[in-house]
Amino acid sequence: MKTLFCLALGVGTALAQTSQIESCASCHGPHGEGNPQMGAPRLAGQPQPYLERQLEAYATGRRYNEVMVPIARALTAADRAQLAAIYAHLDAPPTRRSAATGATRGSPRARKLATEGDESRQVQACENCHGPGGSGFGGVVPYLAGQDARYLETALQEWKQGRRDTDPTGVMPQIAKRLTDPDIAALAAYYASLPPQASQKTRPGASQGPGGASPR
Amino acid sequence: MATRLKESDVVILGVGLVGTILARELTRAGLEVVGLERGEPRFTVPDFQAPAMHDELRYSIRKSLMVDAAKETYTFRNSSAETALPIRRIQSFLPGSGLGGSAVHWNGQTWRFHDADFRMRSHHDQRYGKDFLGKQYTHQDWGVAYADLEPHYDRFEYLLGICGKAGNLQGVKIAGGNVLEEQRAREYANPPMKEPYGSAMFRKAAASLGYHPFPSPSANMSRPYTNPEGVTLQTCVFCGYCERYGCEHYAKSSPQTVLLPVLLKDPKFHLRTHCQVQRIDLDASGRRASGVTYIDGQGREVEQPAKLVIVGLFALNNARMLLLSRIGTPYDPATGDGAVGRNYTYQTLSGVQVFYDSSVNINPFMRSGANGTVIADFVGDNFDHAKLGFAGGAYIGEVMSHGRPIEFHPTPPGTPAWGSEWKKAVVRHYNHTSVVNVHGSSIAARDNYLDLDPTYRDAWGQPLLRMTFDFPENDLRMSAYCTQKATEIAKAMGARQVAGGPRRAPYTVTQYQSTHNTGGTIMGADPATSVLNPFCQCWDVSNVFVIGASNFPQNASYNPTGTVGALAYWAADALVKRYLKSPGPLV
Repeated sequence: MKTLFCLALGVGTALAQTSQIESCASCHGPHGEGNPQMGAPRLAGQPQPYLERQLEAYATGRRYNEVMVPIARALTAADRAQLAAIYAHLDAPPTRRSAATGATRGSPRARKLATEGDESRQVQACENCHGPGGSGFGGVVPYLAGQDARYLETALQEWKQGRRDTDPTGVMPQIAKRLTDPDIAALAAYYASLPPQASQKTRPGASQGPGGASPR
Repeated sequence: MATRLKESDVVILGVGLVGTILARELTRAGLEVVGLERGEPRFTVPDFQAPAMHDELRYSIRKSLMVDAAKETYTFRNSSAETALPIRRIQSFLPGSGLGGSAVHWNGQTWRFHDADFRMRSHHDQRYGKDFLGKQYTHQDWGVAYADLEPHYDRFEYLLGICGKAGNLQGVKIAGGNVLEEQRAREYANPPMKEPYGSAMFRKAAASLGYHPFPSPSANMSRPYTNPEGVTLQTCVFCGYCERYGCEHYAKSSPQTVLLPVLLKDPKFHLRTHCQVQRIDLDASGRRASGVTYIDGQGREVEQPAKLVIVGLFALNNARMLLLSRIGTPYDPATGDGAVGRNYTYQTLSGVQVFYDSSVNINPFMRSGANGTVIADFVGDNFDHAKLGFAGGAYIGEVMSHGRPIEFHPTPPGTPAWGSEWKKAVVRHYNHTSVVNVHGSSIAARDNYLDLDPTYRDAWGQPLLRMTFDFPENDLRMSAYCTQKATEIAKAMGARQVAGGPRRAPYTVTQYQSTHNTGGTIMGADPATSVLNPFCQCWDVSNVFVIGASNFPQNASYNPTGTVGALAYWAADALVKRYLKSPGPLV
């Protein structure tokens, strides 16, 4: 547990040294706030099951990223669960870029897609699943608000191009395929401009803390 | 003075499931089609989007998607000795209003009837002897057989992308599907939905008692599906807001999600909303329809001449439209003569609550309209009625469509109906209670019928439809028998306590039961006892076709929509292949 905390927070650990894994913090920031320069997503306060599933997906090939795949493969299932729990319970300030654009609420087109959808493309509102204001929903639907714009755009493109297979319902690929590239860019900018979420521990109905994360 | 418009090839009354199917088939055959819808245009985006669509007070309690009873409703009485009064709040059944009709707010349970259902009278006579129930029952044959409808059931199910598991594929029985169903030509369009925990416990209990559980067929999608029209549905996310709601996810089959995107692009189809049809106009002979007259959204009277009239309204309104238009002979319960309004039937529902210990989490909120596990062992004539003293039956199953906070408050018998003890009991039982449903048939009885009310009128000055109905003794016996079977299964589900009972008379319109109103414009082989011939064509006015659950001579154990869809394609097939080549009576 202690080593995983260290791995997450990047304070130099035996695990990181022995297995040549860079610490999570070197890309995702000391508080899990993400890194706009690298397009590394914000992790702080994402639901634990969601984060754990993504790590699993990197390990098993359902999602690809050249940095994340070797890291996820080197972790045990228990490590992945614990790391996910740590980030779910972190609070982090907005990154400078997302905070700076806090006043821009995105284009009218992005706002319409986010809150209402587009009947002509049979695309429902993002917020049906991702919650009002992109706040996330339940354990497996991530928040979008305050997420890094470059990351969001990349993620939607991965869905659109069939390079990501982490939605067992198949809904996200359907939606992404119907979005144009400008739609995707506009949505990414819109959600990046919204204020990020509080951590799991400070939200209503939150579970106990990293140690309290229950196995699925 | 009515504005008279240019004649159309076809005018369709009601742009719901039937209306869109017929419009699609007839425009494809090259005809100009006008679709008249009394309600609003509405679409998945923006009208059904969350979080507004999850407003339970607005949609479930105030019933925003239903007909506005202040403008148009029905009058009701239990027997002809009583004076019927208007239903001021829509409660026991839910007629939808607006584009897409009731197929917007339905749950999505999509079934095929049995061949014995279509031949109920002759089948009974053959198996049990003539009039084994007594002469007060007026159930009869439909004039079509299951084999006639099978290709049309198939087409309808593939249009909607029904999810299920076949139990009888071309005569080969398949364990895990409904082995008691009639044979189907091919597998369902999509695999069944995931089985919820409560349903799994039902499955094990039912199997342990020797029954044949299988997944309930659903129009809620188990995976993305592109139908033969090229329209794509998406996967259901188990949000628990199906019945009384539109689906925000494009995951429930409805005209909006299976056909309208194609139909609305067709230049031969002309949709007109806010059109309140007053009557079908007849020519001087009274044997031929010349078109319809409606009041538009601005209150103007409009005459739409047409060569062919398709009536695809909510079942009760199909009967009312023929009565208002003086098509056919109204039924007279005193003499038994006349057919319009005859054999009005319903659905006989009951349920059993299954209360578990707090360690068993049912998660009722994580459900979908037609999601669950059922048995057909007590459906229709799947079991021997010779010594039972009733006909018909019920499917029994754990099909909890939702656990919505205002509507779902299971408490065991003896709990106070309000106050702190009630609140404690709701908290204790909300997540630890399952429900076993008993979805039963309804037999036609001489005293149950529809006619025009002599007193009350709608906002346009037209007489309301009067419903005269109570549960026939046959159906109360059926419910007692089948609910007892459901209770036995519920006890085998490992519950701490089981509570429930059969349906009891009198029928009341102040408690939700079922939207399945059937009969009133029934089909059959004999013009003396039916309104429509076996092709859904009016015996008396051959250029009027009526399609809906109003065509059922009596109601079966299953939900009606699958059979309504099959009748729509069956009638469309007869229209395109035969009627259009030589307009006139098809029989």
